[in-house]
Amino acid sequence: MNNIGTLYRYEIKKIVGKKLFWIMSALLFLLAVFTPFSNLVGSYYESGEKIASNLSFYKEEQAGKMALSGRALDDELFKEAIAAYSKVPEVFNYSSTEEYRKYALAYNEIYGFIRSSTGLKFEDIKNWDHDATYVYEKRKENIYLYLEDSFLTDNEIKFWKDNYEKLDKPFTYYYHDAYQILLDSFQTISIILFAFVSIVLSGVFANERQLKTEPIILASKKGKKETFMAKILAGITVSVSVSLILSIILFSLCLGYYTPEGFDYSLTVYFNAATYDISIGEACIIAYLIMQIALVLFSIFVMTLSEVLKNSVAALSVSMLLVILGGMISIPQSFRAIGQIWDWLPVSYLAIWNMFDERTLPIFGKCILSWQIVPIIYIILSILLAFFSGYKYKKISVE
Amino acid sequence: MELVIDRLSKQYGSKIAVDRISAKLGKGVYGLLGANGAGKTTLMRMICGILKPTSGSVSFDGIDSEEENFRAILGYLPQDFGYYPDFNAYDFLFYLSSLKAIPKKEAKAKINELLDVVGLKDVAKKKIKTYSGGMKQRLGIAQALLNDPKLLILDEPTAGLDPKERVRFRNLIEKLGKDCIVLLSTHIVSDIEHISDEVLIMKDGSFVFQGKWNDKESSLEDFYLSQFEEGEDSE
Repeated sequence: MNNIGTLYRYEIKKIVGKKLFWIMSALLFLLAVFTPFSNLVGSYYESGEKIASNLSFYKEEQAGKMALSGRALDDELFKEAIAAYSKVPEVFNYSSTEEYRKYALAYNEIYGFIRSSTGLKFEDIKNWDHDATYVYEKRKENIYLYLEDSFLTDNEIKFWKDNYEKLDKPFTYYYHDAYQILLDSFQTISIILFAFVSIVLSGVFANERQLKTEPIILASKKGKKETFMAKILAGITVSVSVSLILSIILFSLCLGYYTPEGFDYSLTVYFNAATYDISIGEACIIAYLIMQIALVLFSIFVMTLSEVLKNSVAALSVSMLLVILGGMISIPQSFRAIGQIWDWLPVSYLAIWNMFDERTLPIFGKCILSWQIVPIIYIILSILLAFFSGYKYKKISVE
Repeated sequence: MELVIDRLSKQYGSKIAVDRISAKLGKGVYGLLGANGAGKTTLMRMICGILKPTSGSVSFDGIDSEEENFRAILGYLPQDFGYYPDFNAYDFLFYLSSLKAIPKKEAKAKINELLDVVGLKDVAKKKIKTYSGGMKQRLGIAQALLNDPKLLILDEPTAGLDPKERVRFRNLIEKLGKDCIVLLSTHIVSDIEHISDEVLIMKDGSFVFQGKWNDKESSLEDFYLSQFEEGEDSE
């Protein structure tokens, strides 16, 4: 009789039966609840004097952005934004002034678009005398220059230029705060989830040795293949379930409080380098889905370490070290191949600037984007790693 | 029913833990005696298929110890019996029943029966970490019997049991030995004298005696102690 279902449930029980699991889960839950509102907590001060709460300040900004939502980023809107910013006094901390709050706050992101496209400085704003054609031309020029300086192949540069040409212009501005928060918090959430997986799964195999239960498991009929499968599946289930719950909480709170408006906002307006035709809403879905797949690979990796090193502390140390290195180390773009491999590792990849960057994988002359190919690579690696781990487990000898 | 141990060896670097042991064991209780480090646990682990031998093989009715079907007829109580502290006895036995591929219904009945046999029925729902050493050992014996094994390997099964429990355990093993092969190791010579059909004495990785002790004139304990003395003399 096949008892793998029962074995699987017991393996889950072993993982979630620990206090540490619940402490970590509670911390993750608090993080998911707090993250969408972290900018709204506290008050806004000027010269040590409380001006308003961050919430009321944000509400003003939100109302202004919502009023502009759906308008084309064209001549008319640029002129409005420049006119609004011209009313702000030229002081060092201009964003603290009453005029900024009254006139310019709503145009913050429109001004940001002009500035990132043209390199406009605040002190030059009153003398600005250009139109939308100039903004888009300068934007294109800057993006093309950036592409040429990014150690891309000729084929890649052509691919991105062609894509930029295909984008509908002028772009349309949308209020998109829910998606911006989801993308801004993406890397932090990923790192914390990776740390969670390291802590919770590093003992899956090693604890059997430490508890001295390994001999009776291995001497049982289903103690090899089925037990291995049950452990791996249980580990993946726990990490992906926690990650999905966390993502659902985060999406629900962001979309619930900040409204789902802005799903169609072009990603390239938010993130200049991404000149591919996807929206910020689609980018959020892609990012959080890839996070689940990356967690599957990382979970199998941590459990393989647990099995090979036979020590939960060692497995935890190695996996945590990799998570920290992934967040800290950045290989210069000039080392194209090694830099790309490093940035595509699960511990580095889960950041918007890696996921939607310009480096592609050339296959038969086609440029495959990282977010299109990396999930497939992760799935293949997960299967290979699971096979390797299964092979090692079958050969365990209780020395 | 035959367990065949064929030129079984285990070497760790230059140290030979088990040295080309061969034996054929049929139904009955076999008592394995030997000083610490004689190679008893290593031999038992290799018989169970959980320790890879350097050379040689173990089979039961032609089934190699590496195979799943071998593990299906095996019951094993390791010397250092491990458990999950937060599991209760019932859950622990149910988990091990799943590992032994025992159908759920059958497992439930067997668990209740064994909990009764080892005297843990009243505390079956208590966490194992609250158990005394003797209770844990009885739980270990119960798990080894879950699948009605044809080959029962017990490494120091009486360790931690009080005299009353030991007598109860001896009776149980005696009964089991009528239908299966029981190999038990211990330091306590009286345990072996009472229940073993045959005695195996290990020294430096080899059997120095293998057979029915009744044939001998001197006591088993004297012979066993003389093996220690010889070891000390030669050192």
